[in-house]
Amino acid sequence: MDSTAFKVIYQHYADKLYYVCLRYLKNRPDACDALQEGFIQAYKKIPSFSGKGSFEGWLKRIIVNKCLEFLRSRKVYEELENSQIIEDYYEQPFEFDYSEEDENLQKVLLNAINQLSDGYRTIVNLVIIEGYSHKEVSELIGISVSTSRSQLVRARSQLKKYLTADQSVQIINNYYDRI
Amino acid sequence: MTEFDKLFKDNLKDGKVEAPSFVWDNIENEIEEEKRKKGLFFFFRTLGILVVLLSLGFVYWVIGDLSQETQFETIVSEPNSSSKQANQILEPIGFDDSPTAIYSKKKQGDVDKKNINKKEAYVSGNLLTNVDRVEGLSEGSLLSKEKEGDDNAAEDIDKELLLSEEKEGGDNGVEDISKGLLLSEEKEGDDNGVEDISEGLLLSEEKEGDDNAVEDIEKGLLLEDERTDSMFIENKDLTILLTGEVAIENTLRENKPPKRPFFIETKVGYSSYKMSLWNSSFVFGDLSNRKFKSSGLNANVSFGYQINALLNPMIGFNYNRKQSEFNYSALYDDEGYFSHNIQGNEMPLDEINDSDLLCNQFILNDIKAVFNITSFSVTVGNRFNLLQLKKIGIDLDLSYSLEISSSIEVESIDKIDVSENLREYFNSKITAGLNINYQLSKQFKLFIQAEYIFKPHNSNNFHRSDAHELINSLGLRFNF
Repeated sequence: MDSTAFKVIYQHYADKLYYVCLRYLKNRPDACDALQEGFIQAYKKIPSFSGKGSFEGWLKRIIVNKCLEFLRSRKVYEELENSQIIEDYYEQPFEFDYSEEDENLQKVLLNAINQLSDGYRTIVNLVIIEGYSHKEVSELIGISVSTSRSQLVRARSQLKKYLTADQSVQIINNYYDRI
Repeated sequence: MTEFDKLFKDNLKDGKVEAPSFVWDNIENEIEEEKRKKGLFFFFRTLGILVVLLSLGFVYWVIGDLSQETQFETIVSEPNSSSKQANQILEPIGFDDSPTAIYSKKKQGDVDKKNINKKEAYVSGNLLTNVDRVEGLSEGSLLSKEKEGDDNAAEDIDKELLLSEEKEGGDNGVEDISKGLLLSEEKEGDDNGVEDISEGLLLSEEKEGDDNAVEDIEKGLLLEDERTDSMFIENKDLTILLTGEVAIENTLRENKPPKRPFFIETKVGYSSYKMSLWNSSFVFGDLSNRKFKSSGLNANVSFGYQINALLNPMIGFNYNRKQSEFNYSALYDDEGYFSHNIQGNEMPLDEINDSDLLCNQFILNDIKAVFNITSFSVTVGNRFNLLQLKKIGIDLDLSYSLEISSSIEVESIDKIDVSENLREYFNSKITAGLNINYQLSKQFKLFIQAEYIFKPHNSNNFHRSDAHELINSLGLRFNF
């Protein structure tokens, strides 16, 4: 494929996928690297794209896999596997006052995710946001299904803590400091 | 999915953050590197195939050469034991029915007497016709005499056709022809051997004038061992044998010029091409009425190996520098959408300053671009020797070229601003060339060549369309 044509593809999807990278990897240098390597891999694999399903979904899957590779290199999954499994989960009450139109809501939520450890954040991204099943997650990152479930429970618990009460203001401030 | 999960999913699934610009620069560099690697891989693969082909050609040549050598040795040297029986001399059974052995002499001990039919000079079938010329043999054309009964032998040949005399029970021997056509003498009882031509091979004395007949044979023309041993003389060649032309032929064979299978050649040519193409159907924004012309210098060095007339693998290196002018007109609709510029990028109308012509309801825009193109390519191919006269030959070259680098300097482009130089790699070319050569000396040939080059999907004209080129060259070939 001509690089000029590929640039058009890049320009169309780069911002969306960079956002995905930031969700998984939190820091910008790693997100840039994952985005770059993901697109290069996509360039090489484009001839094998069968046309089944959307191109964006295909591209996103490549980028997500690249992000997971980065996390694997940080040994995030081993930590997940070794952490204590919560067998009994009691659904905590959650009250978060927000408005659908609040333009800062996305930033607040994103920052909340970024407060999580790499392992929890990965599970939240995969299961809650991307919609993967626990079985798929276990195959993707090489942990057991039960570990995936239990880590999601913990992650939810922590997210709720971050988002309750007055913490949202702090979250926003932290977010802007970080950005 | 709980409401909590939904909150995250709805708000975070589709977001956007502007990606840093350097990311694309890095990606582009990587892509170019990837292309280069691919091209190199292709180049080395092609080179590998060529090496294999050359190796096979070399092996073929060596085997062919060895085979010829073996054949020659089989003829001139002692045969192996397994062939001895199979090659027994047939008993002379009459002039009209079978060959008659005429063979010679020296080192009889070394010569396998049962294998003479490879060494024999024989006269078959129409011997009489030839022998007719050999008149005046002292006792007539006494070729053979078979004393003891063999049904097939020439029993009734009287003194005029005595080929051999078989003294003792052997079937095939030829002994003691004392006078006349003395073929051989076998001193000791080997049925088939030939020894000691007592008075040489006295073939004839032609008493009455026949231009083609044998003259001046004193006491027989004694054929030398080495000459006759390697000969397999058909009956019609008898005259040649007798006149000694065989010896001359053998001398020529021995003095055959050495093979010079390798050749290196260099050529310099003028490359030119003009093309004018109107697209019959106009599509908005597509290019049409393309006119392309280029001219420049082409230099080539090739190295090859001659296996036979149809197999002469070659590898060459080609440098091409030319100036090209590209004129084209493009159509766009009245809404002003012009789909592609000269680089193949999408381009809106407002980037084109003015419009010159109206073609129906559409605007036709003329654009002119001038480039300097420098390319370096590697060529592999084969040469077919179509015709080879004494000094003049005609060859057809078919080859494939891979442009290792092609640099395009944009000198000027009217109406479209292109500031950067373009560089493309790894165009493929298919070439057919016809050359006429003239042998200057044993090793040098001068030739002129006309080559037609086809570049499918060529990048040099920016639109990946096919390109064509014609190169006329003058060159020098050196064989070694």
